[in-house]
Amino acid sequence: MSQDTNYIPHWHRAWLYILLALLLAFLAAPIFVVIPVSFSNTSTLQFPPESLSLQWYVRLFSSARWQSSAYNSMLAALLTVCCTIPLGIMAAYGLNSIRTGLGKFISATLMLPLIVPLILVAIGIYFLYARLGLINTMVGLVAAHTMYTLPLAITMIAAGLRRFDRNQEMVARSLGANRLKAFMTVTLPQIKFSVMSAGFLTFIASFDEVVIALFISGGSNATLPRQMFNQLRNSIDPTIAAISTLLIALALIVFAAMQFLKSNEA
Amino acid sequence: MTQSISMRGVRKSYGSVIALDHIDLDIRDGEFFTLLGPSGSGKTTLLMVIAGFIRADGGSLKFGDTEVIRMPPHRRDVGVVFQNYALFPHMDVSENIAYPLKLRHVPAAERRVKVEEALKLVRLDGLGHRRVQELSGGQRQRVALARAVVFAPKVLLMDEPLSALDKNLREQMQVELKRLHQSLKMTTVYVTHDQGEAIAMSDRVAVMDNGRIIQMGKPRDLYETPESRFVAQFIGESNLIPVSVTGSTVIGAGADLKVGGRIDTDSSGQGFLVIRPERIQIVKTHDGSDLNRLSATAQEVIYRGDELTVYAILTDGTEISIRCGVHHRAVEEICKPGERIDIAFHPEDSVIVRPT
Repeated sequence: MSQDTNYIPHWHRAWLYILLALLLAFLAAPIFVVIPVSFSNTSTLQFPPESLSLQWYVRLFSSARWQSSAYNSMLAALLTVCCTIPLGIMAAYGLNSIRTGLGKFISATLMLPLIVPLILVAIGIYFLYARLGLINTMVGLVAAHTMYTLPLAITMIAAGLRRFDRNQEMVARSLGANRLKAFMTVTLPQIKFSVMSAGFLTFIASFDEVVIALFISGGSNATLPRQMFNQLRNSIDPTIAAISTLLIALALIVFAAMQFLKSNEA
Repeated sequence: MTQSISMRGVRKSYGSVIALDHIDLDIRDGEFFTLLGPSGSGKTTLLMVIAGFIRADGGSLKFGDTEVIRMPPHRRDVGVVFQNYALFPHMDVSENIAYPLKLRHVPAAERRVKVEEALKLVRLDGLGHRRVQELSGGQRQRVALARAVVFAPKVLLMDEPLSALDKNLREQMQVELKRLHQSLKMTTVYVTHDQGEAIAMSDRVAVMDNGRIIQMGKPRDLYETPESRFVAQFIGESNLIPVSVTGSTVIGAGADLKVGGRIDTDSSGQGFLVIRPERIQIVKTHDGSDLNRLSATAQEVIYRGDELTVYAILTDGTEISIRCGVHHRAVEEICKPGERIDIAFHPEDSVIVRPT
C-alpha cells in the first residue's frame, strides 16, 4: 500500500515528458534540418525543399576540390589518430604511475590545449609554424591536431587504466614478461575499449576541427571543414548541406561504434 | 631446482621512513619460510624486494649463488601469488596458467601437458576452460597458485594469499598449501599478519616490526620462547606479569617465582614474566609440587564452547586470563566473581622479557 501512496500517475507527469520532448527536439532539430535541404532541387538553402533530387551529391562527388579536401581531412584524421593514441597511452600510463606533485604538473600541462580558447592556440600555432615553414603542410596540420586531441585521448585512456588492477602487470613481470611485454599482453587487452573509443573520438575531433585548420591548412592541403567555411563565405548552396549530411552520418556511425564497444566492455 | 635465498644488509627507505633496516636472512632450499608482522612492519616490502618490484637501496640478495639484487623481476624466475590473485580476466583458466610457459617458448604440446598437471596439482582438473569470472574465491586462489608454480620457479612468493577468503576456507587452504609445499619442495616465502597461519604452516618464521627482524625461528620456539614483549604479544595470547630479578631470585605479584626459560631484563632487573593462558592451572591451595603459585581474585568466566576463559586479577593488580577445557566443570563453581583462587604454572612454561 505504501507504494501506492508514493506513486504519481503518468498523466500527472505529462508536462515533464513534454518538456523532455521539446528539449530533445531543440537539441536535435538543427542537425537534422540540413538533411532534407541536401536533397533539394533548388540552388538556395530552402526548408522544406520543394522537390527532391540528388544533384548536390552528384556535384559534390564530381568536384575535384571537394574530393581533395575530403581526402586531406581523412588523411589528417587518420595520421592524427596514429600519433595521438600511442602518445596518449604512454602519457596516461605514466601519469597513472606517478603520484607526486610532478605528475599533477605534467597532467595540467597536457590538459592546457583543452582549457585555453582554441582560437588562441590556433594563433600561437600560426606564428610558430610561420617560422618553421609548416603552414599549409600535412605534417604541420597533423602535429597541431595531435596537440589538440591529446588531452581528450589521455583522459579517456586514463579512465580505462584506473579500472585496471596494476597487480596483474606485476604478476606478468614475475612470470617472465618484461615491462613492454607485460603491458602488451596483459594491460593493453584490458584497456583496449578505452583506447579504441579514444581513437574514434580523436578521428572525429580532427576531422571536424575548423579553427586551427583555418589558420594553417590551405591550398592543396585544405581540409573539408576549411573548404566548407570558404564555400559558405562565397555562396550558400545545398552542396554544404550534402556534405553536412555525410558528416552527420559519419559521426553517427562512429558514435554507434563507440556505444557498441562500451556495451562490450561492461 | 628451487634455490636458497640469502640476504645481507638489505635496506630500503622512503624519505625519512626506514622500510627495511639492514636485513640479514638465510632461507634454505625447499623451506617454507614466513614473514610475520603487523601492517607497516616491512614484510611486504621485503617480499617485493625478493620479487624485484622494489629496488633495495643497498645490500645483497642471492638465489643460490647468483646475485639478483639488480636483476629485473622477469629474469628472476620467481612465482608470485598476490592477495587479490591478480588473474588475467581476458584469459581463461588454462591460458592464465599457460602464460609463463608461453613466455618461455615452451612448445604447445608440452604446454598443454604442464597446464593439465598444474590443474591436477591444485585439484581443478577439468576446469581449464572456465572463465576467471566464473570461479569462486578459493578456486581463483588455486589458479593463481598453479600459474605461479607451473614454470618451476626458483622461489615461490606469497603475499597474504589467504586473507581474502572466509575463515573455514582459509583453514582448508592452509592445509592444502602445506600439502602442496610438501609435494613440490619449493623454497617458499610467505607473508602474513595472521600468527595462527604462520605457526600452522611454516618451517620457520621471522617476526618483523619497524623494518627489522625481531625474532626468527621455528614456530614452536617463537611461541614457547619469545625473546621480546612484542613477540610474546604478537604470537598467541600472553599474560605479562611484571617482575624484578636480582641474581637468581625472581619476585613477581608478591611471590618468589621460579623460571625455567630464558631470562632477559633491563639494567635495573625489571622485566615481564610471560605465561600463556593455557599453561596456567587453577589449583587447590594445599597442592604440593614445584609449581609456581600465585593467588588471584576471579573476575569472570566466559564460556566459549570449546573452552572456558577465566579472567582474574593478581595481588599486584595485573589482569590475567586462564584457559581450561570445558570438561573442568568445577571451574565455574570455583571461579565465582570475587572469589579468591589459587593458580599455578610450571617454571619451564615461562620466560622473562624486557619491559619494552
